[in-house]
Amino acid sequence: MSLNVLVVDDSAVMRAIITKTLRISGLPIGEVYQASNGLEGLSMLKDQWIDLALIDINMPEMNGIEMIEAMRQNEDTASLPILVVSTESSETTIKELWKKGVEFVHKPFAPEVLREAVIRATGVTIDEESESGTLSDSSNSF
Amino acid sequence: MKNPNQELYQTAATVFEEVGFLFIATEPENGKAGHFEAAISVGFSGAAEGRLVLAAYGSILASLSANMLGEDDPPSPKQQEDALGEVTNIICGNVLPKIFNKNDTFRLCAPQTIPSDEFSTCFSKDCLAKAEVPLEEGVVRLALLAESKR
Repeated sequence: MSLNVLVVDDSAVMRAIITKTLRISGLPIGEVYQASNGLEGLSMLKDQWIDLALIDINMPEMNGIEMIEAMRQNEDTASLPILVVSTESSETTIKELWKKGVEFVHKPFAPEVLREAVIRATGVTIDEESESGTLSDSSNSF
Repeated sequence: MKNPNQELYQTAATVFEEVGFLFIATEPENGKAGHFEAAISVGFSGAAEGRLVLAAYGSILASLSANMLGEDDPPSPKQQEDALGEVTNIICGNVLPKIFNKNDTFRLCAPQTIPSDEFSTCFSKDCLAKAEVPLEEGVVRLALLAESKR
């Protein structure tokens, strides 16, 4: 089983970097869908099966915080693992995100930092011998 | 009080190194301002209001974007500007809490391309912080224009 991921960031270059980092992470990544703001991201969540959402904060149309609030209020996406990837540095904002069960990765990030955050958010595990990941029991509810 | 110029210089140098794999010039013949390539502005609001402007000179854009995307060939002009915009955005998001307060919250606007004369006007103003970062591929100039709301 592999993870279908949604990457929401207004920068096409950053979406490409995140996608490439996920692909070479050794984690079991399936489809990677992309959206350029929160509204597009919410629309994508309705149309596609997503196991993990990586969301930037500062975006036009609908920012990441607004998107996360909308996701948490929708029973279909309320428990979906979320990873915020942002330049946000305010400790207050980061603590608020943690309270909502959201993992946080600060830009710029090293590939292994993103990989560890995906593991924490999803419960995915790595088979060290085969270098390919598998999902743990805790992820069966996705 | 922290030195805003030093904070801006150090943050920019770190981001170009970690995100774009572009390093501070070690040879005297490098790190000189060549022709103007592009300039970006990232506006912000929150605990302070203003914008960070950045201009690249020399041959930074092609290397930066190719490195960021992991490609051998130079990406399209649009991708090159997008890459510079994202780097400016990351510098802005990282430098603001260093200059102001780490608990302050800022909202960043999407990066916008600006003409060279607009950048020059900003750079010549009395800014909160200014920096010139000599890279192997050219020079980056930055100016932080901000007004604290406190």
